[in-house]
Amino acid sequence: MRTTSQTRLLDSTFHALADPTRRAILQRLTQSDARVTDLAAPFRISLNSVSKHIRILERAKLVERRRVGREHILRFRAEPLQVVQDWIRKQQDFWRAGLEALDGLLNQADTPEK
Amino acid sequence: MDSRVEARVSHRFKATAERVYDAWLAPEQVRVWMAAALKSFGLAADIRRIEIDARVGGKFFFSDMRGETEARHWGTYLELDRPRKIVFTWIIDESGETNPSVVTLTIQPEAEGCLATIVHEMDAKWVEYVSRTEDGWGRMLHQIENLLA
Repeated sequence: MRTTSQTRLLDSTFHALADPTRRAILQRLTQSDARVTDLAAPFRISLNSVSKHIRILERAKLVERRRVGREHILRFRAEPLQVVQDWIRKQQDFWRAGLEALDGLLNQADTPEK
Repeated sequence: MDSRVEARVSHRFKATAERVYDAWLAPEQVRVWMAAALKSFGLAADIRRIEIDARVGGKFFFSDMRGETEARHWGTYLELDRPRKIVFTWIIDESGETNPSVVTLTIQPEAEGCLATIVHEMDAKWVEYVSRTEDGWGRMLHQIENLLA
């Protein structure tokens, strides 16, 4: 069963991913770690606006920040997405089992008639 | 590309669309196939309650014991269109009440039997978000999947 903290994690992950700029930032970070200024470069938006997106990603724990001297290096974290995938897979398994069981039941019901 | 967050499964039945449809709304049948499904998960399948009020706006309630806890599932029928479609909300705890996930069962009659498809959508709010964005959540997930592989 889904716990409340898992639900909250799902909510923050979905919120973080529901924006094309944030998804593009994540895609960039799946290739390698990057500085905030590197990330801002390909987007035609201000550094300030990029920082806001990064904060949302950090809150969802999709991005991790570490400091090296004066630089802030960002790294992608896949764990929250794993939670989403697990959720989808669990629902799929559940419904698949239901349909297979129902098929079994209906086939059984058929047999005596034949 | 489909950009909704959803779990989707299909199954081809030899039985007619009508029989598959009815098996979702008859409590004694739901009890049997749900118990079999739970058993296939290695669960006790000790079903406590199966209540179905099969009309649009009507509620259903299923529960089974998982050890000491009663696993509860409930929801409201949003659409009932025999034999082709059943849409219902699917809630597993109180926190899901405000933004329930939605399950759509589509039954497509075929020459012999039917094809049933279940789409379980994460939540309406999220679906609305993504439909407005150009890029696909599906592509994102796919990429992450590759990454984790």
